[in-house]
Amino acid sequence: MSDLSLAAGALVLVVASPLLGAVLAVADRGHASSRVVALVSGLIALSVAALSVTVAGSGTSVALVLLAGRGLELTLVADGLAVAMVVMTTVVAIAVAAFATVEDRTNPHARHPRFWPVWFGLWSALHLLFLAGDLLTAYLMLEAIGVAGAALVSLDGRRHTLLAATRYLYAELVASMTVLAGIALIWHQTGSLRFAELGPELLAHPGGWLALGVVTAGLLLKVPLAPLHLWLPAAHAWAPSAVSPILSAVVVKSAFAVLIRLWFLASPELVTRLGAQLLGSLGVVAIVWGSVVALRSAHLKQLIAYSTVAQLGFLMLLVPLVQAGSSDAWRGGVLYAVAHALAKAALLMAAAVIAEDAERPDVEAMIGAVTRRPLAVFAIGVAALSLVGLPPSGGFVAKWYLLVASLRTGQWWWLPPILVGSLLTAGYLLRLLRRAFATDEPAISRSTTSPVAGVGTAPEATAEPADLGFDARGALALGLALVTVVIGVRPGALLDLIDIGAPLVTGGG
Amino acid sequence: MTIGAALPLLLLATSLIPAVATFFIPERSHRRRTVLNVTAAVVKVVLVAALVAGVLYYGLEFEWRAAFLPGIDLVLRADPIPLLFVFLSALLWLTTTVYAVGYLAEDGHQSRFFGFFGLCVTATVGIALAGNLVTFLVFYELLTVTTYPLVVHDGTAKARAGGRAYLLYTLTGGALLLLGTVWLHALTGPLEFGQTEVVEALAVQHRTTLTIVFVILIVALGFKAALVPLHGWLPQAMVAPAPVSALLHAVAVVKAGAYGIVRVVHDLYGLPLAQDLGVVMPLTIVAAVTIVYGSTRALIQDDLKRRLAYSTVSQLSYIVLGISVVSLSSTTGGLVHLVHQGIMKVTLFYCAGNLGKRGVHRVSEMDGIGRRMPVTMLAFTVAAVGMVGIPPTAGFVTKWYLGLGAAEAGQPWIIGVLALSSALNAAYFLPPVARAWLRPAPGGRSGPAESALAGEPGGWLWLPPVATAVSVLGLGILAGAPLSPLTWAAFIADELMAS
Repeated sequence: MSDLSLAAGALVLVVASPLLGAVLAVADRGHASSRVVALVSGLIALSVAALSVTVAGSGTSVALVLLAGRGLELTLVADGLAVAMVVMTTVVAIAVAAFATVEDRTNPHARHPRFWPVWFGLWSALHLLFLAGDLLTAYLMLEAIGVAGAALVSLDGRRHTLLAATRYLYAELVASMTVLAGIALIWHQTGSLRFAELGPELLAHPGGWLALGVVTAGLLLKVPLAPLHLWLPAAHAWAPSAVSPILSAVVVKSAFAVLIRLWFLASPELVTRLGAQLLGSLGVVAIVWGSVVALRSAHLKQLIAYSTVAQLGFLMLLVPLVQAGSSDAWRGGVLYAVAHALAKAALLMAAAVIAEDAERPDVEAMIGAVTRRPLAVFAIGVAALSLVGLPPSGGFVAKWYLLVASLRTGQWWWLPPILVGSLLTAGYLLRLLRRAFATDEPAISRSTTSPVAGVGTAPEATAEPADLGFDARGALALGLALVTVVIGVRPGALLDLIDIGAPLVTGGG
Repeated sequence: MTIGAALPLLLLATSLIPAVATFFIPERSHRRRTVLNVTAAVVKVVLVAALVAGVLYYGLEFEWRAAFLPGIDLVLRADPIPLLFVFLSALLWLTTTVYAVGYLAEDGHQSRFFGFFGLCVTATVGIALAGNLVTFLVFYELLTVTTYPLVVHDGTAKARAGGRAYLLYTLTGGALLLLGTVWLHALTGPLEFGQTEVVEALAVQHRTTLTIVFVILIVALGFKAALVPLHGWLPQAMVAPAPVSALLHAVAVVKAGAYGIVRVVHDLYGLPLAQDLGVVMPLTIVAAVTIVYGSTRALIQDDLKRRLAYSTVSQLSYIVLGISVVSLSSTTGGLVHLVHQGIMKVTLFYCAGNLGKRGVHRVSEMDGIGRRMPVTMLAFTVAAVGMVGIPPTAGFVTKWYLGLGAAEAGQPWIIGVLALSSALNAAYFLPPVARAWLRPAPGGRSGPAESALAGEPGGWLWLPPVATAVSVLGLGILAGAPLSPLTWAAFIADELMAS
């Protein structure tokens, strides 16, 4: 009993504590001091730790119904998927918050006063989404996440950022309308929106597939899965350096988590082989499309954004394999989501640091970076390890299980996309790393690249590189990237967590 | 933790911990960095000696294992074959560390260099001691990744192109190795090296699949082992600094590929099964083709390091050739060449590095260099003679056993391949030697230097090649001594053939 109430308390706190941060930040007129950020982040971390320890310790999902019997009940479900996603969100968000705090310290007035309230709001919405036990809550949170995400992108108010944010918002709106229409259909047919009650009811109605299809289409636009990804690269590439990591790492997983929950936990009876294979094929399209553009992209953050498009394709391979009855694929797919989040956030943070001192946004900013910013380059290297799927990293373990699942289910046709996709990933990330080691190219210095260099100012001495001091942001990126290595060395605990409440009888691995 | 479990882990730690620590050493603290790295290398040699003694004289079992994936352990185990490789890499790490300290004395990124260098050695020890294919895969990929910063260390466009080719080839090999490993695991479940009966039992039902997996694994490993036509990266990667070339060509990278092939053939499938599947003969033929092709290409290279690189392509396949021919002497010759090739090739690359320090990069520039750099060139000559296979060097021992084995196995055509290859070896190794000693130096200054070391680059760079050249002679003259690599290889071959 006390265990259950502890879990229930942790559940509520996991959602509520980021909201506290939002309130404090509003009260402070948006200028959340580093102390407030650290305090709230610590509180969130504690509650998430308490939740994951109780769920992992008991080995079963924890469900909590709030506001029962008032017609507006809110169900929270902490199963393996939910807890893994919440832990992922919190680890990434804390690293990015610390990154933003360091930025605030060096440049105290650059941060828009609405940043921190929106940031904590987004954090809370993400937690609530992953823990949501009914489709309506999930929908509302998706909506909130979309609006908060677009708001964060637009905060600096430059023309192209506004444009990117507007496109992002439009895509979100279309997706939301579609999802809402599907939800209405589902409600019409089943009279319930709780994930736990949907399956058999939907199966009994002829329109069940239609409803599921409509919701799925909306979710795919939100994820986004190619060919619906066209809004993503601009939004993620133009977002401020403290925003793109959370968007590319965590926000993209929100609609994905709802999708797999709906398909495999709520209504597995409705999922057909054809539908699953179709989604898997779209995943392959995403892998190829995203990778090929990333291989040619001249813009640093755009390259990384297309990498996200491709990596989301890998994630989608979970669908056909789980449909075929593989519990290995569930492990692999969910772990892939976690590993990708950590690596991608680290990659974006490190890239931001490097692009900032080079004062240019293209891949050439990487030239000679290993001398200027060794920690950031090391972070990119370690992140690349996981994204490519090399051991020891979380990405390796995830790919291992996806490959095992393909072989065990006899769906060998996913093997080439996984392996070739990994090599393509290595190809575009190597474009960054090989430039980092360059010594014979003209070094980038502030005075040669600044558009106003030499106009009315004395030319700077360029012979000696300036001492940049300790690179705290690079160290944060490296720390985050090394978490994937820790997962890669000791994946057992996380895999056990993911197995809790997994859609199939586990132990098939 | 018992001593049996601690020692393998300690062997990893003796290079991992110093490597990580080295990254934090300020660039200017030469002394601290040198002391740390050399001490670590010496400690590792001592630990390996303890390991060998423990296995040989006390019959101890050294095994460390930890849960990795559910149902799959990471295993480090000191079996006889691993000991051979660990012994080689520990010794050559020591000499190469000493060499690198001198070679890079003026380099601006030494902490980075020695950090990654230590990580490479950690990965190599892991590869050597890996007790199952998954552990092998983990360290094999780790080696790929940690070598990259060393290959591109100079940062020039050429170095980066070499690094790119290196990664392109080795990562493709790595992806195939992953595929082969996963596939085999999907069939067998947990599988450790030495459990050939498990795979053999599957052969009844899954003959075709096992054959495909074997081919995938060998092709995957063939990228690093530089089997033709997968060898393209090796000549390109020779732009790396000399200590890195030593690492690539002798201590770690290509050796990991060849060693992997040894383990797949003997410890995973077992030679009888591999023969039954009909995959051994093709492997022998690929090795023979590689031997001849590498030697032919080496013949036309003027760039010294490129010539050495093609020579590596050729020499590595002696190992593959030896272990793929079914006879006691062949297997002995192949296994012992793991050690012999390493020591001879490392000597040649040290010498090439020394010559490079004096501005000599091409064979055509080596006229009369023997008088200016007698110590380096003496070491070079010994190693080159070894490569050709002239007694009393280590190279002779290898070729003798390979030839004997071919006769035992009733495959006389292999003797023809060996003879042709030796003739080619002589044709590309003896001209530089002859130029260095017999031709006058350009510019007329042909008198001997005032002292033997006057023409040598500083920083004790002459010492490592001398040490390894002496070993090349020692391993040839004392080949039959107890504890020599040959005795050890013969012991392993005996065990392998008996089963």
